Amino acid sequence: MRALCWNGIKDVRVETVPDPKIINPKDAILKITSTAICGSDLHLYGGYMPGLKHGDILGHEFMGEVVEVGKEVKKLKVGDRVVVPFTIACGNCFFCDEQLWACCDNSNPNAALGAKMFGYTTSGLFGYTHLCGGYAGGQAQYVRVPFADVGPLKVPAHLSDEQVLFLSDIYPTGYMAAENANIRQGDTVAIWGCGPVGQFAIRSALSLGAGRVIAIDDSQERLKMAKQGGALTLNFKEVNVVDVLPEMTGGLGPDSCIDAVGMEAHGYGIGAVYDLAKTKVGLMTDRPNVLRQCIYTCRKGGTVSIIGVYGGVADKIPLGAAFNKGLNFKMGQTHMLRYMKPLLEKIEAGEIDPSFVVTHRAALEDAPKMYSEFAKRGKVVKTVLDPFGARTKVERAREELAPQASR
Amino acid sequence: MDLQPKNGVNVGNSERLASGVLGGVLVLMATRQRSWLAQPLALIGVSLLGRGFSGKCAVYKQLGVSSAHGGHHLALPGGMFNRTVKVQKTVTVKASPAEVYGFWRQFENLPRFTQNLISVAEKQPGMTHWVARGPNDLHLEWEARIHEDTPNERISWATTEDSPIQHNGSVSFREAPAGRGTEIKVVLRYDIPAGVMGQALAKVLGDEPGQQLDADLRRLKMYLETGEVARTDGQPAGAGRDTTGQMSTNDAILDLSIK
Repeated sequence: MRALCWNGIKDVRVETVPDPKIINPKDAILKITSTAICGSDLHLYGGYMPGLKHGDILGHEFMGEVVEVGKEVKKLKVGDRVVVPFTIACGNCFFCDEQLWACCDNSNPNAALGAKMFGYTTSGLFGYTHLCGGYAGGQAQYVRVPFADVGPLKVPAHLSDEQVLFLSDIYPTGYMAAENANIRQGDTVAIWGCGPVGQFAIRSALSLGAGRVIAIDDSQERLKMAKQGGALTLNFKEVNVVDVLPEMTGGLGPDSCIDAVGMEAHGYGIGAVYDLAKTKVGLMTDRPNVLRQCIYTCRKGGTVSIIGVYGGVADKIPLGAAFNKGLNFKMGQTHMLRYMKPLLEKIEAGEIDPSFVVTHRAALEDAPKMYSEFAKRGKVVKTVLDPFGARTKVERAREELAPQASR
Repeated sequence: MDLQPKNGVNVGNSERLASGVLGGVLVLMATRQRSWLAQPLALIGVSLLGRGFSGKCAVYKQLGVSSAHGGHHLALPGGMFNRTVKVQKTVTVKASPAEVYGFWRQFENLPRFTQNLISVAEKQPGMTHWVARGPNDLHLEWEARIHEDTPNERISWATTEDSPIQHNGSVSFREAPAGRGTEIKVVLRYDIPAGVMGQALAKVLGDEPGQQLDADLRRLKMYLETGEVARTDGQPAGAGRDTTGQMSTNDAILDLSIK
């Protein structure tokens, strides 16, 4: 099959690799019909997440048709059309019982390694480093799905791929970010990052009762999409967010601040430069510029909800501000199975059509190009890839003209 | 895990220095010897010098051991001392003490979740025969007698006196609070003898024997809670996995940490 493989920092290639096989009795094999590039894939692309190996297949937002099931799979059948959550859960440990699906104890084969890094292991994730299990990802034509009776959600035929695909990650993730923000009726919620997760967080915050949402980014396209979703927008390139937010909120500060950016925060000013310098020399892995702003601008007793991914250690977190203002913190990978069914119901009821976030469509073969475009954080918000699509003529021509540039 | 490092250096720095100095002295001695001893002395001296200079030792390579990674390796050069290694780990499994005890009491089940055991068989009541994977496809075998067997609470065992490996272990089962299942506590003790056998055993136990027990108990938990052990070996990967000679920093970190 064809699959997108990581070959080093900013080097991903579509290669022919062996087809996946059933390895464990509860596995299923999916033929992928649609797959997407996630903002958190950029952390891998840029080499910020430790634990990738050359040749790893990326991708954790995918859906498709079941083509094979292991002998212990009871509910899922060949031919079922399913969307698959990016976190892998066994469905039978203490944490799955507690609905903490992203903390599953039994789905990470490299649990000891994860525990070394984090104290205790996290669940396995598709296409997201060997710390998270080393599962082959879904930017491919086929994928192996472990614990197939637990994660995959069957979707009705009348909904298109693009309407349900984002139940695999970003819609539940944006929703959990808003839920974690402890929003009360009429609250002001500030959201840093208007990428796909930020977009869903905006819409979810409003649906959970926020009086207004202030969305922060520096990309015109993303801010425009945020505005369409009902948010007020701030361009951090034009204004100093730390000064403007209190002004916009009567000197009080936002009730909730959502960090939908994570460890690769870009930005300006001394904090951003300091972070970049430290990550470049390996003294720090994460750049917590946005998190600092969240903590600093949040109102006293407010909530900081972190949904952008952090993977290692960060420096100069203003803990004094957090402590003295009595802030609440909620964070973590999405507990997908809490949200997938209820959110599918919202889609079916017509309350939201998640396909609004799609800005680009391409063949899997063109994925490397889409990664580099996405990394520029310009016009690309969400790319949906067709694993069996033919390469565009433009891309073929580009490759022939510059064989070195695009492998 | 193969202890042989990729660059071939398998002799530690202090040992390299000692090797080099000794080699030099031997070569010097050889040049002053007029007897039949001169040639063998020179030969040994030169090889020691080379070993010190390059950090590579063919004998270590053959044995599959190394002293090049600092003090935490069990595989000390030459296995000069008898040592005792004791490791202990606890894991909570969502199953009753009776279920977990029942599973463990069938010693034949142990290889289902342990990395290095090939088989364990209770040949006659209370007497078990263990076969473990050693370096270079070598099998290590020993007999152990079950000393304590309190149903649903505790099992302990120890190798027989004539066993080539001196080892004892115990596993206890305690009901976890709040209905969370069973806390399984395993304590293992190995006496690592001097010499080749000790080296082989040390290699089976790995860099950090506690980590291996930890990984084994995680697999036990997976097996008991889900009926399978999570795996990703045998999955597809791109050509870069095999053909890229150079490793990224990421890969290097992983190779140090993953067995």
